[in-house]
Parts: sequence; structure tokens; C-alpha cells
Amino acid sequence: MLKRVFLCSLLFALTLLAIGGVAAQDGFVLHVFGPTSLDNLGSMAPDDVQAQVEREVIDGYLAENPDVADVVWDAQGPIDGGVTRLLTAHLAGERMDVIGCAANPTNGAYVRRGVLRDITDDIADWVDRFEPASLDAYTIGGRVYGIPVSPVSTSSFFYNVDLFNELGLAEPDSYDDFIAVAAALDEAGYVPVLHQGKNVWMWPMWYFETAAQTMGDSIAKTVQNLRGEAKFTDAPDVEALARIGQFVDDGILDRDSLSVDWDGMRSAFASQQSAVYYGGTWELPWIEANVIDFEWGVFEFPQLADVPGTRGHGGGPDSGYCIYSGVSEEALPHAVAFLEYLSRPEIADKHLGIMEPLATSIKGVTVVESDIADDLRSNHFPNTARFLDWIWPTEINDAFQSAIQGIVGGTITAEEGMASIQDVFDDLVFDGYSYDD
Amino acid sequence: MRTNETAAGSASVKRKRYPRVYRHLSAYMMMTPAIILLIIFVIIPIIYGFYLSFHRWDGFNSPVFIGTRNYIRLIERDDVFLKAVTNTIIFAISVVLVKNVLGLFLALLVNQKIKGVIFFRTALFLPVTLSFVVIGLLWSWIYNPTFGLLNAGLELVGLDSWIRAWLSDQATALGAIITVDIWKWTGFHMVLFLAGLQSIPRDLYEVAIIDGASAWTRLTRITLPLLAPVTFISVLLSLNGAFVRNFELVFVMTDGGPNHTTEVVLTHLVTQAFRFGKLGYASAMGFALFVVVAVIAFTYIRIGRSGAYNF
Amino acid sequence: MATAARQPRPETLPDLFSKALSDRLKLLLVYAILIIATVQTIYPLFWMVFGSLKTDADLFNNVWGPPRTMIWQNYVDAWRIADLGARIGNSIIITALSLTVLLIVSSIAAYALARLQFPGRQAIFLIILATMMIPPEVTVIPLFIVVRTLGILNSRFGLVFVYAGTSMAFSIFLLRGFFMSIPPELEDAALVDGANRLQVFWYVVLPLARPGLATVAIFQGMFFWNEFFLAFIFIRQAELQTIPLGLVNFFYRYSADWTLYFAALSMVTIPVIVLYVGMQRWFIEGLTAGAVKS
Repeated sequence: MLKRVFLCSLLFALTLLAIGGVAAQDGFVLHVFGPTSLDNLGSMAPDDVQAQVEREVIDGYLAENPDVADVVWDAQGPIDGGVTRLLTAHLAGERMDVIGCAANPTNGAYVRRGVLRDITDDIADWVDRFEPASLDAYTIGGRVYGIPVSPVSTSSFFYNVDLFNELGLAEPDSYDDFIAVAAALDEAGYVPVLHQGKNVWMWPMWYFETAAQTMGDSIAKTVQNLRGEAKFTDAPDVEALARIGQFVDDGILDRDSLSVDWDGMRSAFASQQSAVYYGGTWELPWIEANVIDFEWGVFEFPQLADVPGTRGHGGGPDSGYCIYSGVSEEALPHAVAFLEYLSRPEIADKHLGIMEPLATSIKGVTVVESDIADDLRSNHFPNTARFLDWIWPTEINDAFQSAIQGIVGGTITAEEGMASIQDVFDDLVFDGYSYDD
Repeated sequence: MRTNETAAGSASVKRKRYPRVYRHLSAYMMMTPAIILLIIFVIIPIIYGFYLSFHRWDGFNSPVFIGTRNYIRLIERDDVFLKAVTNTIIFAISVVLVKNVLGLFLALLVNQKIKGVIFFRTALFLPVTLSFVVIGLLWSWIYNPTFGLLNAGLELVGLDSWIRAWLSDQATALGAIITVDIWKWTGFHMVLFLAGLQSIPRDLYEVAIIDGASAWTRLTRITLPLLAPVTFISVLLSLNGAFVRNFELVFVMTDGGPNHTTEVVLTHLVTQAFRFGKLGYASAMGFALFVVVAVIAFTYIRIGRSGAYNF
Repeated sequence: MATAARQPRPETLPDLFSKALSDRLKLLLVYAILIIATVQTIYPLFWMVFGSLKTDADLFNNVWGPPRTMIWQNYVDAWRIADLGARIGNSIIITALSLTVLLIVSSIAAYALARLQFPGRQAIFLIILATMMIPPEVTVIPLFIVVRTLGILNSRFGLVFVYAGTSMAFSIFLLRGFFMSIPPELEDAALVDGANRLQVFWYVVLPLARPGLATVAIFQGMFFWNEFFLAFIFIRQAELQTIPLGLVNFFYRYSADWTLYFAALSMVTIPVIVLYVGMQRWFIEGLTAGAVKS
């Protein structure tokens, strides 16, 4: 019986195993490689809308370029597998012309490993289509490695307006206000701020906020650190980390946040167990869809006391398009033409517009209108600075994530935390890291 | 032991019947397909990985030979690695002990002729079938400090003082993950032991009962000794799993956090290899782990060999 | 044999307290333990199915309870988004073929290692054992290069051989142990009757080794069915991909479609459980009814 089952299953499977042949194409085919399933046009829109708009945009490009037979867009895989998928595609010699390049891995990994072409000169004629701050996210050492094609985010606190009204609380403006609000919430039996601390990459966002205020110009200071002209152990850096710990010690941020995941945080907020949470404006679609039992609102990260700087929320364009450094001579002009096409305001209006953006990396795109959107645009966006983790090498970013966990958990001091980060940096330099390379 | 004598017995039968060359030829032919697959898909990649451990390689550019620097760095400069080794050993000892004891216990329970035993056997095995992503979400929510089931349960039975954020707390985070691993795999070990129990001849027990042996005596004198081969396999499998196959679980639960509290060698290794592009360094780490595991496993096998299980 | 008429008693837990506790009370205790153990293993399955029928808001506001509304549409959407139709087919082909190759090749080799004496036997076994102790994460990129060189990247065959090859050591090790625990008298009898080794293996040993084969099949089958990483890097063409690669489609940059994810998981997990129930009856029960009556 065993034998029969073996043989049957073998034969059955073998007959099914025919591998479909790939149809030959006439003319040039442009290959767009998406390291993750999100690296496609309008990725944050619902699937069917996304597919339709992507088809429409590509058809427009093909109509304009009769010598291009087709655009093959291969975007798959999980978010944290992007670097691996790109690595294996590279090792396999897979054809890639344009690469969908999220800002984070582009800065942390792709450019340093030489995967991307320096396109500064290729895009020079139409570079003014982009918001300068957004283009910065793809500029390293003065050279541009990609075009930002994305909604632009900023960061905010989201809170339960009904609950605040019920307890007679106002949106906190200063840090001291926030302490008072947290105390009142705690008194009433609510967790003041529950953060998604299990998602380690969210922790540096708190550091961007505190660093902007303790350093004044946190971007410049970070670059100095990375050039070796200053240290992560300098007083303003240590202070920025210490201030995060302060949030926990003063009863604002719940220490238990460390093990809460994204859905846990949102669930606690939606079910009115926590009153406030912190996040990027990418939270808006989820809140609008799922917070149904009460009214919610936004307020800015508070102004800290006794610091030289003012508010600076982390923000920027999430994704963009780059050109593979191994692109063939034949494919290069087509790849550049495709980037140019995608970044035209009227085309961007289609693929960015479907994501209902608050703001976009390309000028002249329709943005969403609502009270909250206006509030965010007029109050939060002017105080927005580039995410520091788009400047840090990945190793430094990871060191920050760990150190902040240590501070929040109360297991290390700010000095120890920053010293561990400096150690990681020294190690990188020891291995040949240089900011300007 | 029994297996010893019988192996020798079967060998003597062969010796009478076949010339030596033919006997060996058939053995090698039986081994060949497996050896070919092993060489191509396991041995060559291992050798290549070993070669890479002496290089600096990010996967995109050519590997650069750097001698033993990866290994030196591992021991001299990488504090997280040392912490990860400690955690891995704690993890391994706990899960090996508990999974096997609990697995055997459950196997004894479901080896009885009682109503609904098939249902219990199936139900207890269910966690093995669940994917790590869903287990990760489930248990993070069970441990969740605000709406988690565990804290609610503790409150219900009046153990309020035990309430904590299980995965955030440095004292409990690793233990919380270990619990999940045990939860997932105990059913598998139960099935192993159950198969072992089923192959024990019934009449041995009959004779023992006639001789007036108590159930405890039957367990320690008949069941456990005859289960020795299965126990050996079960322990070695859990040992192996705890050292070189615990990545996915730790990754979905905490990814080594908070602040490396639950870092095991494999999470550290994967971070180095796939986040930081240090494939050579990660290889070196893998082979260092191999040395640790090999020493433990071969010591265990040597002890096992002098007992019930033989080569 | 004076006791032949007596029904053999299955071995149970030691009744240390048999003097004090009645059998009925003991049975109650056994059931209590089993029921507690079962609830905590079976509830997650219900939780998954509950989740698959909730709205998103219901999932987040009512984490643990049953759904307030039954959203069967989740199943339809999940099927479409994860492209389950094609992927289930691929997963079945790849899992079945991998298991077939693995079980045939490893059981023959394991039998040779368990029963035959030949030069190099010990060395081969030690090498096999040693390869199990190298974390697969270390060898995956080198393996990728090997597979690329062989030209079997992006094919079901390639993944089948990768799965069978990388599970070989584990399977040989496990089966060898099972073969060694089988009393060899039956084989010796068959050999005396003139059967050759392969015949003995096929007709005498394999049926006796069912629990071992079942253990490997269940354990590795589950692994192949749920395996993500190797499938992710070796199968790059969407049409050839397996279920776990499709499940990624429910995760976005800033959110996840948990309800649809649960629906998809319910659809792919429940058949596995049904299969396990079938297999365990076939293998474990089959054994007790059958051969081992030495």
C-alpha cells in the first residue's frame, strides 16, 4: 500500500510538473524590479485600484515609446526581505533596469554596496520637479541615487478626543502639560501613551524628535558624527537619549510598550485602553477605518524644556525609483525616460493621487482635504525634518534601536547607550566605513 | 542491550550467505542517492560557507580574503555574540528538558484505552501545524500588557502581583519565548514517544503484572528502558532544534529585543548577514556555533552509546 | 500459558496512589489534565477561525471573543489576493514530490546505515550528523550559488531537490533510529528464505517502520508546506510559487490585513490537520494491530 501511494503521488506530481515556457517578446522590454511587494505604483491604495492605475500609467508610457514592447514589473516579497531579494537577484544575474527603492534601505544598504547608479546627471534637466527636502532623502554626499516618488509623511501624536473632553484635558503643548495630562489619564485608569515598542524600527522616531530639540540641527550633528568630526557620546546626543527615558520616568510613555506590536498598540487605542499613541501620518488610513467608537485628533510632539532647539518631527518620502548599477547601455536611456515619465506632475497625480496623500515628493500633485489634513499640513509639516535613520548606516540604526529599548526598559543609562553606539560606529570605521565614500 | 545483540545476529546471517564484496556493493548502492544529494545540497554549500568565513563579503562585491579576522572579531569585539551564546544555551537546556518530559508524560496519558483518545492525540499536536507568523501574533497578544490573556487570567485567580509585560521585562522575556517554543513542539515529541510506546510488546507488561510489579516499577523497569532509543532521538532532535532552528520563533516574538535580552546566535547571525551584509562574518558565527553544538551533541551521543543506543 | 485469556492492559501512568485513589478518580484526573492541555492547544485554532470571520474593527476591539458578524467575504478576498488557487497546486506538487524523494532516498540509506556493516559506515553517519548542526542560515547563500550553477533556479524541480537534500540528514538520522529499534529476526528469516536486501527492506522493514516514516512525513511535510525563506529565494516567478509566498500579500508597509490573513491560513491549515488525523490512524493504529508481536 505504501509503495502504491508513493508511486501514485510521484506520477501525479510529475505530470503536473510541466514548467510553462516564457513567450518570446519582440522589441525592448524594460524590467522594473521591486525588492518587496510594496515597490509598485500606488502601493498603499487598495489592490484592485492599484493594479488598474499601474496598468494605465504603464500603457501611457508604452504609447509614448513605441520602441518599447513592454514593461515587466516584478515586485514581490515581504518588507524585511527586500535586501535579500535584491541580493539574490544580483547573484542570479537577473535582468534589472529600474529598481523600486524605498528610502530606508537605499540609504542604509543599497548605495553603500554599490547597487545603484549615480543618476545626478541623468535627471539634471527635470530635477526641479521634486520637493528639495524629498530629493535630499535620495542624495548622499551630494550625489543623487534615486528619485523620490511617494507621499510625504510627518509624525504626530494621535489621541482620543472624547476621552480628553470627558476628563477636561486639553492637547498638551509643552512637556509639562504632557506630564499633567498623563497623570490625569493614569488617575482615570487609562494607559497614557502605549507605543509599538516591539517594532524596533519605530523607536528611533522618538530619538529624531528629542535630538532635533537637544541638538538644534540634528541632521548636521549626525553628519559630523558620521564623518568622525564629533561623537555620539557628546552631551547633546546623550541628552537626546536621556529625554526619551524621561518620558517613561515621568509617567507619559508606558514602559510595557517594549513588547507591544503594531496591532497591539492600535488595538489598545481602538478599544479605549490607551488614550494616546505616537506614529507617522501613515496611521491616518487605519484610524479612519477602525476607530469607530470615539472621535480622535492629532497633536504635535511637545516642546521640551531647557533645550536649544525647537520641534522637528521625523518625516519624508518613503519610496522612490533608482537605476541598477549593472544596467546595460541599451536599457539606460529607456530607464531614465521611464523615471522622467513617472515624475511628471500629471502622471504622478494618478499613481500618487490614489493614495490620498497629505503631501507628496513631486510638486503639483492633488492632496487630500480634511480638517485633520489641514491641521497636519499647517502645523506639523513646517516642523518636519528628515528621518535620521536615512542618514545612519543600518548598523548605527540597529544600535540606536537597542539603546533606546535599554533606556525605556531602565536597564542602561543614556551614557552607556550612546557609548555602545559609538562602539558600533568605531567598529564600522575599523571595517573601512567612511561617510563620504 | 537488545539492539546490540540483534544487530550482531543479523550480521552473522549475512556473513554466511554472501561474499564480502557483494555485500558491501549493495550497501554502497543503497547509500549512493542520499550521498549525491547530500554532497550537492549540503556538503558543498557548507564548504563554501566555511571558505566565506575567512572573507569579507557583502554579496554584491567580490569577497576579500581577511584570514581569521572574522573569528578573532567574534571572540574579542562582539559582546552581543557572547550574550547570544549564553541565551542560546539557556534556551536549549530549558526546552530540551521540558519538551521531552512533558512529551513523554502526555504520550503516557494518550496511550491509554480511554474514550476520545484520538481527539486528544490530534488536538495536542495542533500547535505543530501552525505557522510561526500566526504563533508570533497569538502569543504577543497573549503576553500583551494591556489586553493580554495571561495578565487577565492572573488577575482572575488573584495573582495580581505577578502581572507584568512578559516580553518587555528583562527577567521574563527569554522565559516567555521558551514557553512558546515548548508549547509549539511538545505535541511533536508526544507523537515520537507514542510511536515508541506502541512498539513495546504488551506481554512484557502482562508478565510484570503477574509478578506483582507496581505501575511505577513497570514504568522505570520496562517502559523507560525500552523507550531509550526513542528518547535518544527525541532528545537529540530537540537539542538540535534548540541550537540551530530557533530563528523563526525568536524573530517573530522579539527579534532578539529588548536591547538584546532575547538575542540568540541565529537572530544575531541573520541580522549580520542579511541586514548588514556581512555574509563572511555571519558564516564565521555559524561555524563557531557549530563547534559548540557538536561538542555538546557528541558528548551526549558518547554517553548514549555506552547506554541504550549504539552505533 | 495460563494468562492467555487475560486481556493485555495498556501501559498507563504509574498509579503511585492506587491505594488511596479509586480508578474512577484517577480517570477523572487524566481527563482533567488532557482537557486543560487540549484547550490551550485547540483554542488558537478557533481564534484563527474567529479572526478570519471578523471585520478589522471587530478584530481590534474584540481580540479574543467570537466574531460579532460573520464576514464570509474574507475568504473570497483572501483566496483572490493570495492567488491561492495556483499556489495551493504548487504547494501540493512541491510538498508531495519533496516528500517522495526524501522518504525513498533517506529510508534506503538509513536502512543501510542501520543494518549493514561496511567500511566507512561510521564516518558517513558522523558526517551526516555533523551537517545537521550547521545552521541553515549560514549555508543558504552558498546553496543559492550552487543551485544557480546547476541551472535549476526558478523551477519546481530545483526547490524539490533543495528541500529533499537539505532535509536528508535529519530524515536519515531519524529513520536509522527507527530501523534499529525494529527486532531483526523477521528480516533474518526472510534472508534465510532467499530474499535479497532490497526485497527485505521493501516488504519486511518498511511496513514495520511506519511510525518512523510517518514522523518524518508529518514533520517534514509540515515544514515544506509552511516553508518560506528557501521558496522565497529559489522560486522567483510568481506562477511557480507556494502558499507562504502568497501570504505575504496581506502585509503592507504600515498595516496588515489580519482578517484576510487568518482566512487564508484557515484554508491552508485545516486540510493539513485533516491529513494528520488520517495519517495518524493509518500509521500508529496500523502498527499496534499488526506486526510487532515478537
